[in-house]
Amino acid sequence: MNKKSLVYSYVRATTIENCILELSQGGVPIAGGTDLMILIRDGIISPNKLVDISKIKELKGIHEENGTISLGALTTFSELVESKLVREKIPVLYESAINMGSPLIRNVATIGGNICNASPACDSAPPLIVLGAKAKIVGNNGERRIDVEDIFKGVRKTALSKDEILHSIEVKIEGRLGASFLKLGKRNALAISVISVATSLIVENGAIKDCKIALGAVAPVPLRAKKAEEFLKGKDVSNADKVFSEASKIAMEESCPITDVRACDVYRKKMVEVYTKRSLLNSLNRAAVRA
Amino acid sequence: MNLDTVLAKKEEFEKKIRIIVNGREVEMIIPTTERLLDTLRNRLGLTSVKEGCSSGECGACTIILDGKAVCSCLLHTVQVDGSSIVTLEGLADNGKLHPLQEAFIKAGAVQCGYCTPGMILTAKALLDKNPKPTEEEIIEAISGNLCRCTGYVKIIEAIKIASGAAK
Repeated sequence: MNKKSLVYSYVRATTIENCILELSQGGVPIAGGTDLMILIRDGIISPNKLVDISKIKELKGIHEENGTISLGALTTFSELVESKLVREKIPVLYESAINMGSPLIRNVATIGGNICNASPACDSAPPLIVLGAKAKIVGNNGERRIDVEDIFKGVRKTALSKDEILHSIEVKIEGRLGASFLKLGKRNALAISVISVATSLIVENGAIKDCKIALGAVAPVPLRAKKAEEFLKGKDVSNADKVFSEASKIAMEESCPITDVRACDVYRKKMVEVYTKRSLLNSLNRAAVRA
Repeated sequence: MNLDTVLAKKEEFEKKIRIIVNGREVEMIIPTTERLLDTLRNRLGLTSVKEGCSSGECGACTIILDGKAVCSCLLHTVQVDGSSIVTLEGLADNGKLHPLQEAFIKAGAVQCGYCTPGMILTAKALLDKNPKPTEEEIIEAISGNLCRCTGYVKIIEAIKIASGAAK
């Protein structure tokens, strides 16, 4: 079913240095390939050379050190789902991982690929953004760290330069934080997000001390609902239902979805309101347990 | 890239790979763009591996790659160099059907049969890892394998039979 007869070469990188050299010469990185194969087949990407990074050991594994969980870029969604550490310490990421694709896809697809493909409907971005996760990027000029949020520059565009790769995602554990992820798809299994919402809250002395709201599939990049966040800061949680309703309306106004095959813009906006409120209530319950 | 460039650098667009398929070591020279699905079907004659949606949504092309059920339509063959692959042809032992195959027959879990190879391999990968799955775990495991005939009830029943949870 190849629509175009494309020709490209293939090389397997075994070290980060080797990989960066290949990338700086114009190679396109491939890890799980579950998105890339389709983009190539449909002619959206036409690589001259694929650089297989899937065997680079340094990019694998989930570790915890000094209160920070590090997720190697090659961590598969199945590994995220099966990780006790992820499930216990960052359940919001577990919620998004278990809803991504099917088990067959999750066995191959990686978190690094999900982020670097920079799809507007990327499921792992909203939870990582509300967790304040950092991306460790390595390249010819050494390594740098940026907020995961700042990786996304447009549809399939990232802040990484041609000779850089995502090394890992770092999530600092904040004990008091309650976070939740909700996704609306056309059905339960194997559905691309119509919209998705992740929220996080920190409550102190009965008031919202900090709050983050990230929306997926409602803009070219995962979107922070910053006005809604500002509105919530300092608000009394005894009045949660009312303030969350108002915040959800603000978040809805901040979103700018398009109409496509999955849903129209009006429906998406309305669902942003509904799901933001539900997610905030979930996050509050979790924050209360942890407070 | 034009044809002359491609021909001049032909060796760059082919790779020698070595994989283990159904317990047998195979060495082949494969174009770098070839999908694993096509290699298994067209070069090795393993036609139990079906092409359905070609985009990882239907599970008809499921194989077991190093112990995990995956879609062979979303992999380049060169990516799996050094790996071990099981297709449905590798399940029967000297003409004796695998317990999952027996269970699918016993439960009547096959209608048109197009999803069956992928379904059985997904079930095998599940049972190899989790010999006594709950019904929820079975449903979750096969959620990437679409069946348009059975309504799934008998497939779930068959997997339960193979796991010893039903008769």
